[in-house]
Amino acid sequence: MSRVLTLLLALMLVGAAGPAGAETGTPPSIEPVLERMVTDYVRPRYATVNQAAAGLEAGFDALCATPSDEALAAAREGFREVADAWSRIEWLRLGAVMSDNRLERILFFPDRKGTGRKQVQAAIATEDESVTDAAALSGKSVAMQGLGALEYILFGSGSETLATGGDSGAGHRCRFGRAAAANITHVSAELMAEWEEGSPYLTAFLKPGPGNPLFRTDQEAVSVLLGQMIHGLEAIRDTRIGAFLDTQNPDRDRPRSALYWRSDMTLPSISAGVSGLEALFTRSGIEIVAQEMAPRLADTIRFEFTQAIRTADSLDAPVEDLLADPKTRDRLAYLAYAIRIIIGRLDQEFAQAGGLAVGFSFGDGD
Amino acid sequence: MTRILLERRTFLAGAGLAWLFGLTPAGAERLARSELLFASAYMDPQGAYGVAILDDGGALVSTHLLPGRGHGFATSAAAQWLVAFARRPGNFAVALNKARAAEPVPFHTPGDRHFYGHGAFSPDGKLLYAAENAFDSGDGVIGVYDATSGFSRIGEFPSHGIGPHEIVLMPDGKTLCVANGGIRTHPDQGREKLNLPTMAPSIALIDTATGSLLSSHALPEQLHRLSLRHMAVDAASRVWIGGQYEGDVMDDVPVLARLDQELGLVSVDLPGDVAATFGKYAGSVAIGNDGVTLAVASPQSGVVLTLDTRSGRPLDLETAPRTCGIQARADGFISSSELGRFGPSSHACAWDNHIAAL
Repeated sequence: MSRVLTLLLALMLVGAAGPAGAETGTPPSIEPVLERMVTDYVRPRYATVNQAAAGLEAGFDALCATPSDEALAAAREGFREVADAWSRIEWLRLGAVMSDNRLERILFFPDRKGTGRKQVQAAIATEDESVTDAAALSGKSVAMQGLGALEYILFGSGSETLATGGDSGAGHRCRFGRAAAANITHVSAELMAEWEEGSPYLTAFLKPGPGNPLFRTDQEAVSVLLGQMIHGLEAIRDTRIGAFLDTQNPDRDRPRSALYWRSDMTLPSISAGVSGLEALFTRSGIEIVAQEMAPRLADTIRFEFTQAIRTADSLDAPVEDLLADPKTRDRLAYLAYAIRIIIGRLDQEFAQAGGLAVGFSFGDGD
Repeated sequence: MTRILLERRTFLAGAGLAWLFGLTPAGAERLARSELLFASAYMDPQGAYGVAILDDGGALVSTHLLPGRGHGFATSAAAQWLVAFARRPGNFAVALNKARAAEPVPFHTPGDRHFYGHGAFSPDGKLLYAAENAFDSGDGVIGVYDATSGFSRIGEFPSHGIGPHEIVLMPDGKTLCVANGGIRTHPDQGREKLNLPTMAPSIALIDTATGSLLSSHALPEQLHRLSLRHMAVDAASRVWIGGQYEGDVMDDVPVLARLDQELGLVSVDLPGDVAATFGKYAGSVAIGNDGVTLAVASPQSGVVLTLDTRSGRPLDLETAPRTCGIQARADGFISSSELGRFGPSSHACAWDNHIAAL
């Protein structure tokens, strides 16, 4: 018995010495993490956006050819699929999405002055033919060519005419929608291309090193990846929940400032956004950088992600209703809090365990 | 050096009382020995924020708590004060008296403004200029505060751009040079950048007597995503600007620019290998006490670059992980990192992005 105890004690001591010993060892290479992130997260997610946008384009084809309630419902569902797919990858702020205004061309939000809505309304009112051509549309204001425009076309005032067709206005509106969907198909194809084998960007992305324009060291890559997740969570909390919920003062709630309020996609897109970041965290396997120092931390983070996603999913109603009921309004505030918990976990504990500065903003020198 | 020594003596005269809350016996001894003092904002391991005063060796002299995360500072030879500003979108500032026994003076922006983390004093030390966001319109403004009456806000003038960041008083003592970073943010949306497709950074020269624009300078349109944020002025009154590129990382763009009397605003190219190692993000810049050496730090790339401002030639590219704070010391520069390094010393805290010399 005593020998067993001694052995156990010895094992515990070895265990305790493990992390300390690991500090002097070589940290795991980040390259497999970058590779998995591309193959298991970035490429499939952009492909889903592309397919959903192509599906919406086809939905508009059918709707424009034969207007009907069913065709409109199908196109609206097609929009929701694109919005969902985009929400799952939109917080990745790396690569082609950061150039040629592609990010804003797919979704321009927040649009504080309602510029996009006004431009879309004006184009519809004047039956501006130039917005019905995807290529011409892509050169116009970023606020009138993406998901914001599509949502207004499909759900905004006058959208019911799409089901009846008849006048030239409805036909124009439908062709505008088709062009906007085609534009997203095109932009998402450009996003996919830059993450394909052999692109200069991908080559740099997969191999940190001196002179690499993206990451000069493994640690810089870890910092950038973690920064993506933290920034994404902050932005979901600040710009998506914060757009309509004023945690201090219910009188200052702004349900009509919520993203996707017309299509009832506000909470689903928030849930999809948090899920997307959880997928980035899990599928990339970035947790290996913190494994030695904090072996259980990744599971804690995943648990907290799940809590936030469940909370968002439980709030399945129009934003206006959610805000009106004190109980659901409290749950919205809790959702913002649950996201803050994950941010703190990544920003503090994970960053520290991964050998980065604790609690500072990952190279954001301000 | 004369200026530095005089300042130190002024500082010492009041130190025993003025810093009574933060000064330990060891700190007092360091203060007495020190030729030169620095200030930097920090976050401690418990997540508390403050300002630290350190000596030339990076040893702590004193610390002072702040209500939130700090960023940059304003001080001057004539100013009795060291003012620490909140990082955006914070709206507080705290003035610490350098010269005599006094409680720190906290003050804040009006409700519809917030600080951007930087400021500058008038030559007589009586007025403080602060970079601010009038966030409902998104216009940049320069708030004017009266240092002789508790830092009450006595006025403001436009920064003539969006997102004014670092501001410096030019050697003529009359012209304020403002780096309008060009990025619109709104406190309702946290730190989210709201206008990247249309951002238009500029360097504005403003007459402090009237608040009127003397001249505004921009880089060519293809560099409109290079946010012009941090500045230092060399002995020839040229302004060296460190940028942060918000465009495609694969773009081959400069990270530095220079405002010249004759040439206006021009980008500064670095040799290919230096540019590649440095990256496209400058976190802070400083001019050495020789007036001709420029130091630029990149916390992302983990390097500090020094170059000769007369020839534009790089002198050194030093590896310095997560280093952002940089400031002139008597000879050369002192730098600090998010990992706790300050000069040669290590501390259990994360240093914020800037170091001020007292």
